Amino acid sequence: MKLGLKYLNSVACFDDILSRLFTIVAMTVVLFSISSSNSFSQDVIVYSNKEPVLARNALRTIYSMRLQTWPDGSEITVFILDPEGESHRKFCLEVLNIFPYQLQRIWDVLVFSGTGQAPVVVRTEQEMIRRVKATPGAIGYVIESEVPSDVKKISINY
Amino acid sequence: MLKKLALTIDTITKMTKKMKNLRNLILILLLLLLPGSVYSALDYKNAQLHGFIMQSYVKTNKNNFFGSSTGKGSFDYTEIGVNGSVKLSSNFQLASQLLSRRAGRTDDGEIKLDFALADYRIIDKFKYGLGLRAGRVKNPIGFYNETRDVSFTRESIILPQSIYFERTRDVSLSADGLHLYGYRQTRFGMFNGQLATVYPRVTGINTEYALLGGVKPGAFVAKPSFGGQLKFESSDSRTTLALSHVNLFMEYDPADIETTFTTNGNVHFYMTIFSLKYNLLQWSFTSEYAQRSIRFDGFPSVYIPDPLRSTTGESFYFQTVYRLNYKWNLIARYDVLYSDKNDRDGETFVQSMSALGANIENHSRYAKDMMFGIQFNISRHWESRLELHAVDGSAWIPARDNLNEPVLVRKWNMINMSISYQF
Repeated sequence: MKLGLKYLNSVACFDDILSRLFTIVAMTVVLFSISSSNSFSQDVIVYSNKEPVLARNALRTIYSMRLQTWPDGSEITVFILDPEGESHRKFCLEVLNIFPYQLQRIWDVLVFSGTGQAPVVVRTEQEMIRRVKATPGAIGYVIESEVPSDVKKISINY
Repeated sequence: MLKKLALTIDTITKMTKKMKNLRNLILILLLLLLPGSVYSALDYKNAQLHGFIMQSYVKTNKNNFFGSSTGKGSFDYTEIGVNGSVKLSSNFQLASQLLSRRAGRTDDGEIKLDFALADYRIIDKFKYGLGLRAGRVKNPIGFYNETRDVSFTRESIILPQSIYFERTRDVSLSADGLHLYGYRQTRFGMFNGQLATVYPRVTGINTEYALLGGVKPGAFVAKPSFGGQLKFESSDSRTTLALSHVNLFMEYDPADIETTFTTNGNVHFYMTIFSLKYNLLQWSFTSEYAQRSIRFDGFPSVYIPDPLRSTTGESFYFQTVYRLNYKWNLIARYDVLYSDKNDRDGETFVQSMSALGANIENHSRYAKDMMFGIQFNISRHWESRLELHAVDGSAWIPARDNLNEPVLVRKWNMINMSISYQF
């Protein structure tokens, strides 16, 4: 996983085709390890003031902006960090198991076909914590911050 | 009720036509928003405002595509859109989009009501859901039709023309009616389905050009039509499969001077598309295969010569995107269109037309397009593209861009450049 992120971070020089090929092979191995393992998720904390436990599928349906209400009928409000940032990327890859560009495309299609809305983007983890706490039915995630005790962590069933 | 709805939407469209200044307003609005919207679209409580703008440059060595693209090239390909949506309750949403598109002589930038719909979610569970959309709704045909005019949702400046070609664009874009949609989450992945009963948008000279080869005195009238899509996304979110089908009916109501007609003309257009996408972190592979048939009844042969009365065409493409890193993407695509799947090289058509005294080039019955492109993601809101096309065949070249050209050329090349912004 680390290798994958590191790879994408480096704006590579175009001439080094061999090392690129090697990396592609390595990436494939990494991808298989993502789909078969769930040991990466300990860093990302997903939280809301609604469900204590969610299946990964359900979480992905929520973050694909397809699901609109919690089982109790209240409205879901979805928060994300900067979609170009490392935290969001980590959340997509490690928790949702979807590539960030796919999620972005799902939102774009919903928005520009009128069949849904985009999630709310917040700038910092502090803002994330504050807004999720203040919004009934909100869901969000943080990576670096401690979540205050009055907000419920969600444990994800993979 | 459906007809009433269609009429209302028609009235709104006519009103927006009168508001030519609105286009400038949208432009100014978009420009004003540029610096302020680095993070997100305009969000206020449950309302969102989004928009996009794309400007392209097209240069061809032969044949015009989107304006006079031979010579110095053409800037006549622009897409501007703005949309708003509001969630009135947890299961009821309204959304609408205005679109101004310039594409050579096919589209003149006139503002059109792209969609205006109400969406009611009847069932909304983790495992399954069901909802209803009413109004002018985008048609879910293949992977791209719903958002075909939004640059950011495509992987290339122009979509694979074999399937998403210009000529029948107006008819297939969006339609007025009712859509029933649902989803079902399973162990293997998510199934999404949509069923639509609609009146297609058939008014306007583009439809007459597409179907009858020129502007005629009479007018097309939409008849009740049907469509649907079934889509599957695997639970590891790598694979997406879709099957789309549309069945469009329209009637040609001839004017009094068109005495060659004995009854109204009927057109039946139907299309089936298989779509497949496989996504990896750096690679995406996409392929679609389409079969489309068209049948004309009641048209005199001066309008529709016999060889064109009933044809089934075939299209497919393979596309690969490679993401070098966050900033740069490469794309390659091979795209093929046959106007008649039983006459791929067009020879039979040429012969039967020449028997009728018409001189037709056989390359007007197919097109094979090899494309390479590069995309630079400037930021989340800006992107820029460059594409090179080498095309063999002239089947999808818009006729109206080449009215002054003596003949179309079989082998031609095209360079496209674009810059786009969305918020």
